[in-house]
Amino acid sequence: MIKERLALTYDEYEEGKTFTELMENFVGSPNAKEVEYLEVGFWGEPYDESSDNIVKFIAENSSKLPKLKGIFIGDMESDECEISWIEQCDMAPLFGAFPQLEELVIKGSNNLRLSSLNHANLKKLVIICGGLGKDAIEDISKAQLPNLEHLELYLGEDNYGFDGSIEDIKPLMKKGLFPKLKYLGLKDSEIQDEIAVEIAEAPILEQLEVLDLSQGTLTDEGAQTLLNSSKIKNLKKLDLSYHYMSEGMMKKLKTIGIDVDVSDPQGEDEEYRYPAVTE
Amino acid sequence: MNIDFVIIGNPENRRVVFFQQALELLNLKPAKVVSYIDLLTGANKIEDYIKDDVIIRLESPGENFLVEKELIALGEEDGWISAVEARGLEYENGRIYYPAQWYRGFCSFLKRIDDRVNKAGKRFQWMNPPGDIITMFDKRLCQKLLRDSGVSVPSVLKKCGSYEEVQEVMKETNIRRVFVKLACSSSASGICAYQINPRGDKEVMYTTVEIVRRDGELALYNSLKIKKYTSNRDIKDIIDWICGQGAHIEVWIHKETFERQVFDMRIVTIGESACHNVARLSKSPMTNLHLGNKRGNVADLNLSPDKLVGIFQEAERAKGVFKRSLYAGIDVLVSKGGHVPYVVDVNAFGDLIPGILYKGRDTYGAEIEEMINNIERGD
Ligand SMILES: Nc1ncnc2c1ncn2[C@@H]1O[C@H](COP(=O)(O)OP(=O)(O)OP(=O)(O)O)[C@@H](O)[C@H]1O
Repeated sequence: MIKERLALTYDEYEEGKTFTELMENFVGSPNAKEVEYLEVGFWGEPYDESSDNIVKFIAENSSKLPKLKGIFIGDMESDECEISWIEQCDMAPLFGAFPQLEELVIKGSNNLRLSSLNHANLKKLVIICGGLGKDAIEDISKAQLPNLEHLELYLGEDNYGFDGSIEDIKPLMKKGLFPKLKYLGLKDSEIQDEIAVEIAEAPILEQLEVLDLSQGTLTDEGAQTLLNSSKIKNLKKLDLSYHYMSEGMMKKLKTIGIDVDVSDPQGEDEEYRYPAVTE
Repeated sequence: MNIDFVIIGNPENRRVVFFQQALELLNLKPAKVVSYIDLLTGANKIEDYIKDDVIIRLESPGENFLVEKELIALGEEDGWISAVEARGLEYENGRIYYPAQWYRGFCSFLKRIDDRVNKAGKRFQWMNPPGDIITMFDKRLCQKLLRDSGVSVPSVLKKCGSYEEVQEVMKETNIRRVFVKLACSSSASGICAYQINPRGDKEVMYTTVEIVRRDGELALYNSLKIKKYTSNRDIKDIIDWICGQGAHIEVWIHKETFERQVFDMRIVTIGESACHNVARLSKSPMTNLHLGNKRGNVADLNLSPDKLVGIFQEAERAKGVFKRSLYAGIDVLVSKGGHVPYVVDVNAFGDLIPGILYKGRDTYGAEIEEMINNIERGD
């Protein structure tokens, strides 16, 4: 896969270089027409200026990017910008401009929308954020994505933009919503237990290979319903890593006969204080 | 060879043990160890250990609460608490007590030792002299000295005495992301990565500081788990407290990442050469290894050979500012994308990186060899 990464470096940003210059240089270069995957990283002040101009620019220049199959908007670490502060926009122009797009990854969710999402070829959609708004969740649950195989949503917490409830997430658990879906991630949620309870007997499990409920606040309560579920064994993999379950629960989950990831327990009673070492 | 080493340190500490092991490996006789606590309480005198051609090594006073209390007591003048109160402090794991007063005490102690050693009237050598250690320990002094000598360091914000002033300066200079550091500390104690978002006036701080409010008072602790604060009350209290103790505030550089983790490098520089080095990789803005971060090989970080040379040269340039010292642990990070090196810290006791060898020797062995070479060359 031929990748291109567009990002302002810290030093370029300090010197006053702009992201627009970077993008113009890129689409003007002969190599643009070969690029299959485009990563958009730090664009200056992502907490202040949204990705709107970038998304529009890429969409407007789609004819110069004939092989583009994957896009990542906001590929930066928290060392560059607090993830929950990244200002996004409506991604609709990308879907219209790139009918051959197969993968879209988005980091950051402020003002993120995926309105009127209807795309024949998209296989993978990932949204990494501190909290996903219910508008964006609704956009996805109304989307027509006949080829979608992998849907991974960081739902987050209300401090960082999650303003929904389990009722907003439920529509994503409908069997056949995305007929080819094999991987469903409803993760990094502050209501991870509710999600586990809701999905434990949901018919969608009959079509999935991987259920990813990792990175959230899952406790024994949610885990118990997964354990009791009659459908969970149809999965190939259940990802519950980073959780608040007890040792006992972790052991039980290990015995259900499918691959269950219970790594990275967040035990509460560990001692985290340290004496300063003088060096 | 018959060389006498004297270590001023905490005898129970692994640092002292490792140094003795290194001497043994080189077939040298063990160093005499004078404990900080004995020197501080007067139970022992440094003069008694100084004879001709002795080499004196100052080790870290850290990880010993009695010593910490005595140093705070020694810094009582213009301090927060009296010597008596200092000696009565109760041990609590991770508690940060009066770091500025501690530093004052440590400086007085070092000056006193320096004085007494000089007055002993013998030929002696320091591995690292007290004066350099005093400077390296104060990030304000040290970073200024580095900058004035042309070493690449992050830009510094002007002096701030409170949270409000920090806000003002950040707005004035349009700098949204800074590191607020306790000026006189180490091992990531009192280090905060702080950023403000002009949109909606949000702010967030990642820090090793854990703040606890008890009976209307603040107690601060070092936390191995990076804390994230978004409430103005917590952030303000922490910044005010650090400013009260003396703050060093500099621009937060976007660190380069490797496999989605940010990294910096600890480069132990001995004599004039960058020797032992290790990459420190982290998912948080603080890469210090004791916080549970991962070690890595500097050679594996996808840095070009040119950039690597530049990084090592920058460490050597930083070390060059302290010519009278034999060694220092230099922390260097490189900016994301451009790989411009920045020296963020010079650690007087930054040579504890067990298991890392350079030309077959650990840091201690390499330091001893360099010392002996210097003597043989007659420097
Ligand atoms: N200006 C900066 N920009 C980005 N990261 C920084 C900056 N300053 C320090 N850091 C990171 O913060 C951590 C602690 O830094 P620093 O070396 O200043 O603290 P310290 O307490 O003296 O630690 P040590 O004893 O290991 O030197 C390191 O991981 C370092 O890479």
